[in-house]
Amino acid sequence: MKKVIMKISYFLIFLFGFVGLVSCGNQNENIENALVIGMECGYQPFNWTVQKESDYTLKIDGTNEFADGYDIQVAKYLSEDLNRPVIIKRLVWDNLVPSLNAGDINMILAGMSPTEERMKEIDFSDPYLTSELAFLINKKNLPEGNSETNPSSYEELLELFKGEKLICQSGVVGDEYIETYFTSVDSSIIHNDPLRTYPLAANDISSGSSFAMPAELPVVEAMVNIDPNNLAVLYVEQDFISEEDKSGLSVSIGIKKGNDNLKEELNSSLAKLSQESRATMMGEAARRSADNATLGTEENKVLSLIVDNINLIGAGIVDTLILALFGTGVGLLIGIFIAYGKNLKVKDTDKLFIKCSKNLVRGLASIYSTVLRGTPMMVQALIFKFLCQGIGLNWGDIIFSGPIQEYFNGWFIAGLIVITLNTSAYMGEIVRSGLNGVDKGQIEGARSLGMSSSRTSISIILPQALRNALPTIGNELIVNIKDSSVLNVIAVTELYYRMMNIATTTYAFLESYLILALIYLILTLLASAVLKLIEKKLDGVKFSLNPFRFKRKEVF
Amino acid sequence: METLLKIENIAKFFGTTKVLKDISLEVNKGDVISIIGPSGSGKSTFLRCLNLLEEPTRGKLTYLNKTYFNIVKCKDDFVDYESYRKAVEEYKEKLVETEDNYAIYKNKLIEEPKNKEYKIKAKLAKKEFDKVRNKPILKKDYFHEMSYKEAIKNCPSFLITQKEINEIRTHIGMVFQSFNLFNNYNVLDNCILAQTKVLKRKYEEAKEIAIQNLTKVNMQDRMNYRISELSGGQKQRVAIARTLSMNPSIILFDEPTSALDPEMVEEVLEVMKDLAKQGMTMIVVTHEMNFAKNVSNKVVFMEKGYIVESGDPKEILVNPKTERLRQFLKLDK
Repeated sequence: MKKVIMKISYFLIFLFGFVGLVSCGNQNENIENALVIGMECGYQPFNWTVQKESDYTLKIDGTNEFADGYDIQVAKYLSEDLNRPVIIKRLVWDNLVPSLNAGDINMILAGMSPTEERMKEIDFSDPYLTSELAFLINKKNLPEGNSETNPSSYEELLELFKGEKLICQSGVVGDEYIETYFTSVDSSIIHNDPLRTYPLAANDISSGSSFAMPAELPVVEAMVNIDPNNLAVLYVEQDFISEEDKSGLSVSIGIKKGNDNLKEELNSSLAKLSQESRATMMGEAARRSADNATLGTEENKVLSLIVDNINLIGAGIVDTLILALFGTGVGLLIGIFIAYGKNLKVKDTDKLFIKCSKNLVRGLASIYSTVLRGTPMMVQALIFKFLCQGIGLNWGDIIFSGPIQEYFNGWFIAGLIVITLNTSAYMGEIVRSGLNGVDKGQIEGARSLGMSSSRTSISIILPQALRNALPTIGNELIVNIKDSSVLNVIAVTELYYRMMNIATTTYAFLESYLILALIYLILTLLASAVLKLIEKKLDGVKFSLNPFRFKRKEVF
Repeated sequence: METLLKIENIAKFFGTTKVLKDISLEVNKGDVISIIGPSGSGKSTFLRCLNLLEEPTRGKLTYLNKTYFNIVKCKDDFVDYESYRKAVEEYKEKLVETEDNYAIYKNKLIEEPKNKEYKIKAKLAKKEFDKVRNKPILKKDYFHEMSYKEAIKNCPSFLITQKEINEIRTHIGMVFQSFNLFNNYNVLDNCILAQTKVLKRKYEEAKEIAIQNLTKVNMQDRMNYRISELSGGQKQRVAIARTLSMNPSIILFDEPTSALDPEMVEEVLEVMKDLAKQGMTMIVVTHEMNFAKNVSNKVVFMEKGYIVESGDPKEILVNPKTERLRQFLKLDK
């Protein structure tokens, strides 16, 4: 018993020590002077992710990937002009403002429009790009004669959209325009639920399930470049948009409230950037974004998708497997303690203190397993993330150095903890039913030989309980391989997260997700095959918790 | 002759039933004592009390001048058994009554599922039944003279620590009816495990002793077999070897041949006869009258928690003094 406790405590000390070391190391590296920029790296043509470095790219912090786009060109210009280094951080859109306020980044350069709502929370610099509103529309629905010089008027638009569905990306100004200028005016116009990214929305339009998408002109042009056979720009007159809403069409740099020094610095620098050079940068970015999306010929689209992103997919598989194996293994260890906690029985002859503590432990164990089994892991992950932020621990700050940084980051550690805790609740029940399934005669046999109850548990009961529960434990591993995908909500870079990034940069949605499903299928099939092998092996030789005992089979 | 185990006034109560009432017995070194009796007479419970697998309610147990269990006054002495038993009987009656009542309306509902009157009545009957079922009669409510809590305080259950009990158990080995071999170890490791973990013997030494004992029971060529690969007789012989490996002074056999085919009974009895010849002290609960007659030097006949008759097997199995034993042995025919 002592040895087991020692081993577990060594492991825990190692784990926490490791995390502590890494987080300490990170604090020393912090560069005072740097512009730490947050962006989505998936909002074309403003910013997106590429695998190869080029003249137009900057490295994304904590990864081996690079960011390209109009925002990156502006960041490069600012870095040169202000003579300050740049760090690019990849964040989910909804996380940009909270991260800025938490001080993780000191500016948002992500094609963000200075809306009134946002201005309540953060400050904005002068616009670094002003643009016009346009609609992305299926080519066959484009009204005749519409062009840049002959834009459609508001009345024509209302006529055109009658009874049709409009769509946009969630959380952007275009989505608000649909509400303000169309659905509230004509109730026959339908506002489709916004999608996560512009490419997804564009996909919707080319497939015909939505009619049009309002967005800034450069965005619309970039989308058209991806699929020029099916998509087109619908130019519109700008006069129906109120002055207030027009500010939403320009994009500005988000700064933390009260950081006036940085604001002045940025404004004076942006003033030197001419409208012409802004337009050229935008045009080039839109062209590159379209090139990026063009994948070989149609026939080998799937193949080239895999070959081009083999590193990403490989890293995703490694991450997912580590999450599933670690979660199941350590979850099982914790689950054993929970099972024993839930199995505690109070005797009449126990002293008051022992009675109380037994009841307490049993109560805590059942609350633990009830709560963790009764809530979705996705919600647990989010709660864990924000709880940690509440006590000042931001997992995103932990960054590993060396070659492992491609696979691991702080969020990965957070994901490990969440999946382990979640699994341990299920394991508690699994182990408990295993324990209750062991023949009571086994206990009597051991006790009649003078073994103590703890020795009986370790040598006789637990090994048999685990052996009986092995099929269920294996099932839990398979569930974990699949369910680790929900950890993408806290930016754990497992297989699904990486594949989703590939899908949004290449626009090959169906192909990407089919490949993803196939990989998951192969992983789970492999896992169940290995488990079957282990079961067979265990039935062939005796099973004990002590791995060294396996050697003794060949005594005679 | 040296007295190994002295058993005085052992009693054991389960709920309302008194399984053992008052049993005293002395076990000398080299004794082979057979305990016979009808089923339900408390033979197995008595045996399990000796190594404290079952905690006796009252009594005194002494092993080689060391008293390892001694309770003169127990908390059950303060239970008002008469009213307790009465309450339990009433409870059982009421339970059956309410359940029957519920069943009547349930069956009527199956015939006429839309009858509102039956629905309400079934609901009420179910409520009544649950009310009775959820309020079982507890022994601790039937204490007189002193309350249950005081009784617990005044009557400590064990006087020695768990460690000392474990120590006693290494001297008093036990062989079970259902073998209780460890399924997760092979034959040899079953015999080694307790030696290394409890007696702290070195692995090599323990292995030697285990092989010796496995040879004694003629299982030396099956040492690497898994337990599930053995027949019942083989399992029981391994169980005997496992107990022998602890070098006990006394071995308790709890119906060792009852779960076996007639063919396998012989091989186990052979082993037990050999042990008896070698002078091992044994207490055997058995239905094998031939074994009792030929091997043991003392037979104890138990019924309803008492020792009815005991003595030399050749004497009492042929000419029983009591009518009950005569009946049990079917000698009247």
